Amino acid sequence: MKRVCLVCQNVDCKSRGSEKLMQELEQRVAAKGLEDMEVKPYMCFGACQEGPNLVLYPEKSWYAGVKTEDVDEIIEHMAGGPEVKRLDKIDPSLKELIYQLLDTGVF
Amino acid sequence: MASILLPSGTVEGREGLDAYRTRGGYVALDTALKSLSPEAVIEVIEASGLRGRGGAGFPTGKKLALTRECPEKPHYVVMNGGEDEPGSKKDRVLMENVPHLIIEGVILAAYAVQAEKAYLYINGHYDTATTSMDEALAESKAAGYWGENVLGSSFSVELVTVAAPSNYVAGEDTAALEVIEGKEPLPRQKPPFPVTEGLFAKPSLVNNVETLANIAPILAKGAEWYRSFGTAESPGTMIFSLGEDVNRPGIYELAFGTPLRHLIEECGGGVKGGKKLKAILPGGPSSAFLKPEQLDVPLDHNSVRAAGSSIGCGVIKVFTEDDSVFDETLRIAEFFAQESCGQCAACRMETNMLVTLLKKFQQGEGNEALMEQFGKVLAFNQGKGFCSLINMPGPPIESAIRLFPEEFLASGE
Repeated sequence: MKRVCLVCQNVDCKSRGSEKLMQELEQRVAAKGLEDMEVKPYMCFGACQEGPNLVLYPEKSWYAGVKTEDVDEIIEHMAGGPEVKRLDKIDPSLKELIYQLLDTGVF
Repeated sequence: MASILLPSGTVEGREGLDAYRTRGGYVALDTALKSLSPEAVIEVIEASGLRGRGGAGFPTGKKLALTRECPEKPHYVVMNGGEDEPGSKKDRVLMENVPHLIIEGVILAAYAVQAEKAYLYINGHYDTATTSMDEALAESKAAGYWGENVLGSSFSVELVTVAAPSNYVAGEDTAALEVIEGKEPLPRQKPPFPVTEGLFAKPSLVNNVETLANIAPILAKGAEWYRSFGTAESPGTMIFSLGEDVNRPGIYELAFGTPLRHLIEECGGGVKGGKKLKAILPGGPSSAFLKPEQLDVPLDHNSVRAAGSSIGCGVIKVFTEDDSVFDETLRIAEFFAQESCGQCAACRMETNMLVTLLKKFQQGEGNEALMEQFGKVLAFNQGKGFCSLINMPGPPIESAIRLFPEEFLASGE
């Protein structure tokens, strides 16, 4: 299975720039030659107030409040670098709910 | 058939003022203004045990008392005739046929809470009902039943109609208040409840059309008479709506406690085409499915709740061996996702996620692990919205999974 970078495209995240963020990620993933990584839209992670949100799966890294300035570090993580700890701020119970949904194949 | 609201026999068109007065109309108002204090009016309603007919079943007398007690002035009354529940037509029929019964109830409620103005919020697609109410309002004003110094008393009240948008949340009580204030139909966060901070932030009594229609008969004939209908905890009657899935669709006024079987078989003439009954939704799309073995459940708040469902505003839908409960569940989930107003993030996420999950089953990708996700998504979001829409998809989905799990797993085949 291909690895995915799911970028929330619900209204709140969009209003905070998630469309532009997704485009940026797509371009940078391609430029970096990360062929096993696919950037995909996601309907909603339920953490709208913290958006824009993105989840790397199956790594299960959830980055919140992501700005285009953060993309460098996220691309590094995708390429095998360290997790971007400062963007990891979501409540564990919500993470568990969403990860279970992803584990059961809800994309 | 018990009859408190709908005159016996067929109602043909709008009942005019003379016809309404011939059967005792406006006597209760006249009597109340001459001999009852607002508190005494509320006492009678409390003693009658009347409960709201908009879906929640809250005690009407208590709501009247809570509004009346607020020192902040002025007070308002809002008749909620938004009626956006799919399949519900009781409020429309009442407004079209017996507008004076409703108007007398509104005026009595206004007197009870000492409101200076009452807004009649009517579904904007209800042309006949709107005309009927407008004509009856003109007649009742000319006869002195509302306006300055009602029937020569010191009580004055103004009645105005407001067209309600026809989306689902516009029928929510605080969304109705927003519309009357000239804003978008978006539910407000509660508390504060409308009884303390409602229309224009003033104490407001918001009641469903059918609830208000019960007030004049109760005051005319007394709480004891009213309690001779129905059950101890659900006194009176309720108007039930039956759809095209039975032989005789329509609305039926029945005493609370009448078995569901009587409504479907005697009133509705049974399931269309003589098909075998598979499931029943007894209280609209936000209620839980019942099985045919539960057909003898008495139609009252407590009994239907004990059976695992709710009576809502009395919209009853039946499903036969030819119908798919799974398909209905998906339709319901899509309805709530579409009608979610979008202002609460949790509601958007939940309603969309439920549709996504159901579609996985529809596409044949369902399994036991996926089935367990519904409950988790619902539990996580329970109560996280301003209004109750976020809690509405739960009962139909969870009951469908519990009662018809095989339909979920077979749905994609």
